[in-house]
Formats: sequence, C-alpha cells, structure tokens
Amino acid sequence: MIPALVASAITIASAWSRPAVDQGVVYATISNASARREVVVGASSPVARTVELHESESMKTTMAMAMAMHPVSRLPIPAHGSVTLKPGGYHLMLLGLHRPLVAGQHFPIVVRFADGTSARTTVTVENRAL
Amino acid sequence: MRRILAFAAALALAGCAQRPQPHFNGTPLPVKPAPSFVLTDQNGHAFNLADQRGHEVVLFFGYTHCPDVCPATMAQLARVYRTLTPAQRERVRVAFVTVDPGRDNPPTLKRYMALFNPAFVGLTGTERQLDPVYDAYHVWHQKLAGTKASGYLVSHGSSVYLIDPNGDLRVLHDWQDPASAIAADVKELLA
Repeated sequence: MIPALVASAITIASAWSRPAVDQGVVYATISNASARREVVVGASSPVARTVELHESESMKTTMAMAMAMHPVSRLPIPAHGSVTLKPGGYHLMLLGLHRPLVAGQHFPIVVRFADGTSARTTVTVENRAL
Repeated sequence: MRRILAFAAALALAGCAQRPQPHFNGTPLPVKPAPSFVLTDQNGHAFNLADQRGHEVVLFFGYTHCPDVCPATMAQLARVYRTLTPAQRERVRVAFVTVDPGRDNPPTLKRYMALFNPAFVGLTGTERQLDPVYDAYHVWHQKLAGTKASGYLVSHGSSVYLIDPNGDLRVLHDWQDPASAIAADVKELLA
C-alpha cells in the first residue's frame, strides 16, 4: 500500500534492524521539522505481517533490574524535535517475518502519522548490539 | 616472635602479589555456590550446571519472541565472546534460559542461538523445572497480554550472571553494560 500523502516535515534517519528469525525490530530517529506536533500511529513493512510500536521500560525488582514491554498506540514527535527509537526504549516490532532477516540486508518501512500522512525509510540489518 | 610476624607479613604480601583482590566492573556478589539446575539445551541434551565445573558460565534469562532487550543482550554477549582467545572460549559457556517455555522449544532455541553464536547454549524445560531456577536466581518475570499479532509479551529480569569455574555466583551485570566491561569481568574470573 503506497500512501497518498507524504509527511514532508518528517525525516526518519539511521534506521537499523538486527538479524532475526520470526520477529524483528526497527530502531531509528524520527525528526519533525514542522511547527506542530506529529503523532506516530502505526507502521508497515513488506518484510513482516504486522508492525507494532512498543516500549521497553526498566524497572527495579528485589535483586536486579528487569525490563517490561508494552505496546504503544501513539508516539508524539514534538514540533521542531525528534524521538529516537533505541534498544531499551521505543522500538518498532516486526511480527511474523516472511523470511529471516540477515546482516547487510535492506528493506523499506513506512511510518504512519495521525494526520493521515506517512514517511518512508530504508532499514539496514546490522550485527550491532546497542 | 618478631621474625615469625615478619615472615607472616611477607607471606601475606606475597599472597597479595600472587592473587590481588579481583576488581569487577559489574556488581560483585557474596561468593556462594550458584543454584544448580538441570535443563534441556537446543539439541535436546541435558545441561547440568554442576557439570560445568572448570568452565565459567555466563547466564542470561530471556525469550526468543522478545525483539528488543534479549537480542541486544545476546548481541552484547556475542561481542564479549569474540574478545576472548580460543583458549578462553574453551572455558566459557554462554547460556540463555528461557522465561517462555510455552514457545521456546529446542528447535526454536537452536535457530535463535545461531543468530548470535552457535556455541551459545539455549535452555528450556517444563515450568516445574524452570520455576525453581527463576526463584533461585531471583528472576522476576511476568506474562503480559500483548496484541492479537504479538500474542503475549514477557517482562523479565534483565541481569547477566557470571558464575566462576568453581561454580560460585560472582558478578551481576546489567544488560546495557558495555561489552568491554563485561568482557573484563569474564576474563578476571578465568584468571
């Protein structure tokens, strides 16, 4: 599905992913050059059945740290600001990969915004830790 | 008497020179035997922690459907492993214990380990086998409703445990610690 409206004030930079079998992840920096807030409401990619926005959060337990994760339905990108999706924070989850992702591979992803516009970028699969 | 004291002091000094107090980048733990367990590895073989004496064990708890923290940690541990010499690698076992036995069977674990290092050990078992392991290592974990597409998510303890070649639990690392800091501790415990 090619969206009709392209969010011209939005740029998605440094998008990367990891090698994965069933489920993958996408990290990137989403910047908003406009004077109004933009809100991410979804994403899609031909490599996966579904793409969801999730957030990991660290929490303290009795002995050690733990990580909790939950789906996020809206991610605001402030006016003239940016949000970085990174390990241990916001990330796009690729569910139901059609085939495994391997290092060096590139694939497109489209991020949708609340105003009906969308932005596209190319993701590189990297053997990277953090 | 003075001579004996001097001798004792010299011995103590020599002892210090030979084996200085280890310095760790991670959180040092009171030296105690690591709680033992027997689980099943990705090839369907039994993995008994007690049989790993002489090897350092790097232990992490996670699940293969975890897209963010688990692969980040496993990629970190793969980097740590790459910094070891072949002789050191022979003496280090990196083991991943699932907190999601419902989905993580040996074939799933095998494909997952291959993403990072096929030498890594992926461990699963029945809930009856795993629950005491989570308790013993204080691994908090909780299944959370996900979405229709993601099924369910598991929040879980994200620490990395270093068990020395004597079988004692020694150091705790956070998953976000730099690979170089973890690697230094792994090597310290081999010394």
